[in-house]
Amino acid sequence: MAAMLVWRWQGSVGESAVAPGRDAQTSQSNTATDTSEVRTAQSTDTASKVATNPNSASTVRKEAAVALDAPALGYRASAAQRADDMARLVAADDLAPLLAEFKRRAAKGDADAAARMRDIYDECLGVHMAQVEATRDLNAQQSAFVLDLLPANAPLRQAALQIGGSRCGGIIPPGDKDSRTRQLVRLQRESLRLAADLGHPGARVRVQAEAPGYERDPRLRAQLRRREALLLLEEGTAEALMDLSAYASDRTPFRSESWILAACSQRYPCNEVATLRTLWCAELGMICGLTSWEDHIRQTSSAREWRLYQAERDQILALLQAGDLGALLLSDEAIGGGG
Amino acid sequence: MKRRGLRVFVVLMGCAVLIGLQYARTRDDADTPKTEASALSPAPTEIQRPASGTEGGDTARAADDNPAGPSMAESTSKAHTAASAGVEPSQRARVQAHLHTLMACQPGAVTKASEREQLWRMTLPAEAIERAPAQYEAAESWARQTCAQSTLRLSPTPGDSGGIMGLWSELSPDDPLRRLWEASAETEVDYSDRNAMRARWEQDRALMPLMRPLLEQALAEALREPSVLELQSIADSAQSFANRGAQRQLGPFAGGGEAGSALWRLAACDLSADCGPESPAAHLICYHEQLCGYGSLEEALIDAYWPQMQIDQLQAARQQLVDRLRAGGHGVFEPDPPGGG
Repeated sequence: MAAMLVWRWQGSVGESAVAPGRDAQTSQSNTATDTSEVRTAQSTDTASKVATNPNSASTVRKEAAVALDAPALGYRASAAQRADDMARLVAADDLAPLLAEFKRRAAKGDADAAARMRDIYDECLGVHMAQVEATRDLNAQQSAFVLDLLPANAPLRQAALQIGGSRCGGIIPPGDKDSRTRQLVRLQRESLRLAADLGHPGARVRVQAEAPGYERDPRLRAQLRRREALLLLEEGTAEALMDLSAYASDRTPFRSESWILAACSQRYPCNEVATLRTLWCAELGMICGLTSWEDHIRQTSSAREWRLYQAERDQILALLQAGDLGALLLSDEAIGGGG
Repeated sequence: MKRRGLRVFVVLMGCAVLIGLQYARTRDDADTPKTEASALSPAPTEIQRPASGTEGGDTARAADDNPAGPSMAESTSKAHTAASAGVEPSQRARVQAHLHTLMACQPGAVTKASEREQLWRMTLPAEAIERAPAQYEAAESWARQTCAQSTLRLSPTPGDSGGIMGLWSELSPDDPLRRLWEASAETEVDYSDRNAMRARWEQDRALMPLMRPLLEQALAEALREPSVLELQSIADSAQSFANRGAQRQLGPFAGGGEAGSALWRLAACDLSADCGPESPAAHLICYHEQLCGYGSLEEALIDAYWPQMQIDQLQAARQQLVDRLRAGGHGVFEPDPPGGG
C-alpha cells in the first residue's frame, strides 16, 4: 500500500516531498514553481516543528514513505561536519548535549543532523530494551549452534549496559517500561522521517524499507529496489555504504558484510559500535569482547567467508574508484523483476 | 542463491538415496522385508498413505520396469569393487554407491574454468589454491567416469530436477527417508497471501508431532552403515523442520544451517564413513561446492562452514553427537532438559 502511494505520489507533477495528508503548510511548499529558497524556508519551518516538538504525531505517517527523488526540504552538512559529528557521536559519554545540538541544526534543515538524531534514538531504544531484557538469561543449551552466552551478571555484559546507560541517561524518557518504549519508538521514527524529508538518502531508503506494504508488481518492485541502491551508490560516502549494507545489499552482487568492510575502509567509525555493545552484548550476552565491525564479522564468519568478504570489499572499492556503479548493481531481473 | 542451490543439491541427494533404496529393496525384498528402524518404531499412522493397498507392489514393478534399474547396479562402483572381491555388497552400500552416481551426473555448480579459478582465488586458503585445479580435475574425472557407468538420463541442471523428483512416486511409502523428505519438502508460499500463510502455518502445526519420529526412523536406517550424504540429508530435513518452528522441539543438533550440515557430515566421517581424499564425498565437495585443494574433507568443511569463534564449541558438539550416534542415536532429536544436558 505504501509503495503504491509512493508511486502515485511520484507521478504527480512536481509534487510533494512529503506524503499527501501532511499539513497544509508543507504541501503548499511543493508546487512546480517553488524556488529552492522558498522550499528551504518552508521546510525549515516544518523541520523546526518536528525537531523541537517531536511528539507531534501528525508529522509522522508511517504509511507514507518519502519518494526517493522527492525534492529535499533541507540541506546536507559539509563532509567535515559529518565526520566531526560521527566522531563525537562515537566518543560521547553523554549523548544528551549532542542530541540538543543535532535538534537545533535539524530545525534549520540540516539533514545529517536529523540522521544523527535518529542514530541516537536508535541506540537509546536499544539501551532501553537491553535494560529491560538483560536481567533474563537465555537458555543457551537448546542449540549446539547458538553462540555461547554470558550470564546477565557477567562483568562484560554489565559494563556494556553501564556504558549505554550513561550515554542515554539523559535521553530515555521517564515512565514505565511500556511508555518508554512507545516514546522512544516514536522519537526514532520521527527523526528518521525528518532526515528523509530533509534529504538524507540513507534515511529515505530506510523509510522505504520500513514502510508497511509490498509492491505486488515484480517489475516495479525491482525497479524501486534498484533505485534505492543506486541512490546510495551515487551518494558514495562511507555512511551511504553502511546504509547500503543494511537496507540494499541484496540488490548488488556483494554480501552485506562486504559492504560493511568497504564502509569501514572508507573511514566509517567501525570501532566501539553501539549496536554490538548494546544489542549483542548487553541485551543478548553474546560476543561481548568484540566491539568493532571487522572483528565481529571475522569471528562470526567461517575462514572461507572472511576471505570472500575481504575480496569482495576490494572489488567494491575498485569499482567505486572507477565510478562503475552499474557493475555494483544487479539487473532488475536478478533483483526479482524478471516476472 | 547459493543457499537455495545447496538446498536443491541436498534435495537431489535425498531423492537419490530413496531411488537407491527403492532399487535395493526391490532386489532384496525377499530377504529384507522390514528395516530395523520400522520394526523398532512403527511409522506414524498420521502420515497420509496411498488409498490403494496395491501401490507398494505397483511401485516395485515400476522400479523393475524403470530403465534406471539395471543401470543402478552397473553404476555402483562400490558394489563392483565388492563383487570383484567376491563379497556381496550390502544393501546400503549399493544405495550409497548409486547416490554417488546420481550426484556425479549432476553438472558442477560453476562450470566455467575462469569463474572457478576466480572463486578459488577469493575463497581458498593460499596453500589450497595451488592444489585446487588438480583436485578439481580429479573430481571431475571421477564424476565423468562414475556417471558414464549409468544409463540414467538426468536433468541437465540441478535446478531442473523434475525428472528425478518424478521418481519419488516409485518409492515405497514405508521408506523412512521417503517419508522424511516428503514431510520436510518446502514449497514456496506467497507471503502476501494471508490464506496461503495460514494454510502453511496450519500444515506446519499438524506436522509438528510427526517431525521427531520421522527423523528418528530415517536416522536409524542411515546408522546401519553411515555415509556422509545420508547424514547430511537428515540434517537438512531437520533444518527444514527447525525453520518451520520446531527448533526447540528437535534438540540441540537440529538447525545451524551450513554449520549444522557440516557437523553432521563430520560426524559421519567419525562414524567410519568413507571420507578419504579419493572418497566420493571428497570428490563431490570439490565438484559441487568448490571446496578443492584442502588437505582433508574435515579441513574443508570447518574452513568453509564453521564460524571462527565457534570452532571449539562445534568440535565439542561434534563429539557429543558422535557419542550419541554411536550409542544408537536414541534421543538425538529430543530437546535437552532445561539447564543443559
